[in-house]
Amino acid sequence: MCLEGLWNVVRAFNERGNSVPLPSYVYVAFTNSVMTRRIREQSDPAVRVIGRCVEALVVNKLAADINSRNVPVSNDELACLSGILGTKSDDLMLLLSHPGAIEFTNMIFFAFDDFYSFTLATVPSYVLDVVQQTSSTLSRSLPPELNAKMRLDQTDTLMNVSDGQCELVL
Amino acid sequence: MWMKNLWDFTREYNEPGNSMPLPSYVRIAFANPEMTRRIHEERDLAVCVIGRCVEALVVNKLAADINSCNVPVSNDDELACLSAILGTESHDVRLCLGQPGTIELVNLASLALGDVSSSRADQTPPDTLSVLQQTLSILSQPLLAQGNAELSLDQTFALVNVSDKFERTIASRLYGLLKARIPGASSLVEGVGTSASSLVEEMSISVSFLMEEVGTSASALMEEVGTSASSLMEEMRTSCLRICLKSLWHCGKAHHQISDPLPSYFPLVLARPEITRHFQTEQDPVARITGCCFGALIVSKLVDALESPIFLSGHVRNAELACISAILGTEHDEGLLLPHQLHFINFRNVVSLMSGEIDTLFTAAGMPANVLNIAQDTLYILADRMFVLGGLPMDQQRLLQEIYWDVVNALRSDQLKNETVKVLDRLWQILENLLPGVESSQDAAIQNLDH
Repeated sequence: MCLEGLWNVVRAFNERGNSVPLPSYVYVAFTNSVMTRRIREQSDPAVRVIGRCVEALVVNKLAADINSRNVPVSNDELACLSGILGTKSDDLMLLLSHPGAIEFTNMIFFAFDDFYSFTLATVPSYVLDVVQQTSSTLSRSLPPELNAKMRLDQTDTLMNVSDGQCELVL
Repeated sequence: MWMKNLWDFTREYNEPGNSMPLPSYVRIAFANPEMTRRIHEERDLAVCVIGRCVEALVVNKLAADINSCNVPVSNDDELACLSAILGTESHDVRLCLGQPGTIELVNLASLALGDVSSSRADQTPPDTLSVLQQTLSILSQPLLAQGNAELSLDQTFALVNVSDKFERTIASRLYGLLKARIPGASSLVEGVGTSASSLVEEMSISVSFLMEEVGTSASALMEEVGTSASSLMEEMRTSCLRICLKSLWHCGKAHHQISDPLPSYFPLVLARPEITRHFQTEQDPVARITGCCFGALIVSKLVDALESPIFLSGHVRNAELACISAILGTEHDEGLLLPHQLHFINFRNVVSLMSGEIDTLFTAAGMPANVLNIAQDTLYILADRMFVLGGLPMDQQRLLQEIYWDVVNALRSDQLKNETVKVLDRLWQILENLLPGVESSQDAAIQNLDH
């Protein structure tokens, strides 16, 4: 419940565009490697999935904030991106210097995450909705030509439900 | 779905006539080592296969873009991307790009021969298999167009029982690439390619011009040009050999993840004795270590398929045995060797190789970090085979496992070079005492451990 609330907050910051940057206490919290490790090692799939959605949205919003201003990226921002994307600072700087590269990388890493197939018995249906909405938000931040190709809006994210099995196709 | 769309996106850039360069954010994203790591370690087979196909298409498009410009590659981002995906150094990629077709062939070989588990129809979803097949079709167009005529004349392949003409074609081209990069091979000069020859020609024209202008010291200048050209040709040779061997080593490693026997084109063509014998004496340390590790992986798979003891010395009629014999050496002429003894010899040879190359692996300037990974991964794979198959009494098995974990721990830290040498030597001595008369040397091995 707490993570879902956090997800709602971070998503709202993503929806508001560049007018309101992500509060520093959010991204500073994600500079701690224990945070990312705990999310990835969560035994509860619902917590793990929502945690990953929060991480992906934090990266997305930070990248947008950094691109929209003239101030260089701060160490905390870099540490946050580095921790979530598992990428060294030098490689991150390179990614940041090419518009769209962080967003593209973030989307691919999100697609690699292991939440392709769940049973409705282990993951509540709202979790699937969280993943779906996160995907839509990330997709909208991609460069236009790629976004057009991906067409990752809600109608394209398929959910097959049969016999208690639910498959989310990212 | 998302990865499939991404694949479709990169496929469109590879369509004939599409001169649009790949967007820079794609190149940069794939230059990130974390990207390749995640793709290769992805647990979902379908996502992993599509990710590998996207990588291969990115390499193919970049190589085509660079070749179409017909100028030396100057963009570091492009090199970094190719280097990250192919798992080799930028310097080697840069030189190989000067030899049209090399990068494309290695890229195709890695996907077609290296990702063996993904091509198995029983494990891969049909739509993913279709993505793989379409990708291979795109990557192989230039190769097939270029290679058919020469293949029909290749006597070597008359011996190979490979039903898949596609794999046969790729193996044949890889063999040509290897043969051309081995010193003394007749096709070396031809293999180095037109770019080096034209460079030499260009330099000679410049010298002629200078000779007319300056008049004096022309012979010294000519000599300098000759030396530079020769050095460039040698660099091109080693870079191509490194990339080719890295790709073959990757294939050998991938074949250890499946239970199917090794395809016959390995012992008959790609790891035939005249090729593998050269690895031990190759001047370039990266190529030497990679080649020897590739050979060890091939032996490991071939020994797995053996059903009876073999002689390593004397006349060998069978291609598989000739391959094993050439790689392991023939000094073990005591008699018949059982498969588990062959695994020991193979493992011991890699231990010996690592011990002998310790300076190269840990400290040599300019040494690519992935060479140490190649040696480590090979050692782990061979140790796994040796321990799984057994053949030793329990106490010796335990003894070896203990010392083996010391080696693993020592190798994990590059600060412990001296310690690593000691542990490797200790392991080597124990293995030496266990071979080939495994049963009679138990006491000596235990004594060694005590020391």
